[in-house]
Amino acid sequence: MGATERSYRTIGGVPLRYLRSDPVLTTYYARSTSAFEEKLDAFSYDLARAVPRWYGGLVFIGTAGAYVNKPKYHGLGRAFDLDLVRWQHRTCGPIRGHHVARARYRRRRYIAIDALARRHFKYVLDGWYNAAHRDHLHLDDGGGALVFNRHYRSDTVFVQAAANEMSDAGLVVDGIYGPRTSAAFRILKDRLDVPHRVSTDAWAYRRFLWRLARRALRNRGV
Amino acid sequence: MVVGETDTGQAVSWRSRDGRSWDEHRLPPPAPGEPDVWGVAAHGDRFVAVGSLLWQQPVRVRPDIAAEDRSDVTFASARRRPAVWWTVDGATWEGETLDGVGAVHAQLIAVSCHTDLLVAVGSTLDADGAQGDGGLVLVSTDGTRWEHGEISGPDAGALPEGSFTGVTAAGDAWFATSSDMAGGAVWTSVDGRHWSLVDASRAQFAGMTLQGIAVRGRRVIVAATSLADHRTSYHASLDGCRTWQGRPPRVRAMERIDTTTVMDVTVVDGEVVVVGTRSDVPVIEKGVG
Repeated sequence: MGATERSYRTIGGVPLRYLRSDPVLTTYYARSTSAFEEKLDAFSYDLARAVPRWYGGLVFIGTAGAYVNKPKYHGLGRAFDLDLVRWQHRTCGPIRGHHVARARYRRRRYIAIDALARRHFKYVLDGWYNAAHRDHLHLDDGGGALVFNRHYRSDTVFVQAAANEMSDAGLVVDGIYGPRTSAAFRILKDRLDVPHRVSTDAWAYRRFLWRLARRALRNRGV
Repeated sequence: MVVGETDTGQAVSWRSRDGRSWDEHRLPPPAPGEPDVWGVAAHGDRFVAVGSLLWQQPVRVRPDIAAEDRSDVTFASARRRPAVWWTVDGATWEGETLDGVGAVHAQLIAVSCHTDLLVAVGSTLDADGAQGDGGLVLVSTDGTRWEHGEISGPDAGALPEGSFTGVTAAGDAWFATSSDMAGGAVWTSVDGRHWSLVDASRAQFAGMTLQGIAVRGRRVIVAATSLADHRTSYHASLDGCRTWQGRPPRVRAMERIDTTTVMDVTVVDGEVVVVGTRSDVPVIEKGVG
């Protein structure tokens, strides 16, 4: 399986755009493994079908890069940096720092695409993870099974931020999975009517993420 | 001598005297874990290779799934440590991990030698060991005892989603390349131990990944890849990396096609040599000029 076995400029039929070459939107040519492209395709399909009708269709996906021929998962053709998702009538812009946007509906929209990405990629590094990711979401499929892993800082900060944005949990987003985070996570799962076994059951975790995203995209709390 | 990995993930070296026939040798993991090897340099009468070793503690979350199916494996903890290998005969490698780096996760990507000084560069990684977050420079005179180099500047070597990617000695100066989310940059040092950013290089290489750096006479050469369309370009500097001129590649195998990837650039016997892959098959070619 080669890192560059696939080269493409759309994901699931949705054009890719490179936004960082101001001021022009540039067509982006992604390269990755076939398996990784299939995961991106499924993610793109989720982005299109999870939204309410008033968002309109998915217009383009802004990216800062997929295959980069140096270390780690970008070098393996198994990583993707997401800058922006553009629907016909709505936008979610990690590149615009929407995880700390003043408007809560923007922060919830960011939570939604973060959650949808986690349905397909184990490592999703977001604006709460560290400063390097304040302007994009990093997606890669290293890290093992698609279940919640409290040992991963990347999983824990997401649950803490989601609990804050969706149910006013008032947690410190520090990546430490302590009793308060555990309790807030339990409340989220209960209210979304999802089994608690998200650390051992990928189906349960994916269902949790799907239901969380659907509510977040509609700016409805949990 | 070239190092890399087979498609089964084994760290290997390829050695050739004529550039046509190559013999392959394995670099054994210096400890339990998965080795990555990225760079190699001649040091006196031996070769030194650098990379990293990833140790992970796998946990099965679904005991009802068949043992050979690893789709339920996740990891309770992990650690990526810098690693160094050396060989005298070019065939039998010994290695060790470097544990005193001061970061939980770190890796080495490139190494170069001038007189008796070895300089290895790479990166520290974030808390999950998922992404590079800072530059790492280690120096040694014997290949076994390594000390930290010093990185100075406004960001003190912060490289979001990046790493140092290459290093070379050029007479009385050292140069290194880095790449991160914003693009590439070039760093300089007079002694290999104290490093600072060449400020103008950030603008010059914005939106590019720098794959490697080499010196031919007074000319410093870097190989770059555009983040937007993956086009490979070569750039040369005659004034100590302050200004750069684009140089079109004159390598047939490495012409820009979708399946071609340039991984590194070096100089052998006065000729520029590019290594990479085409359709995921290793390619090495000289004559960039």
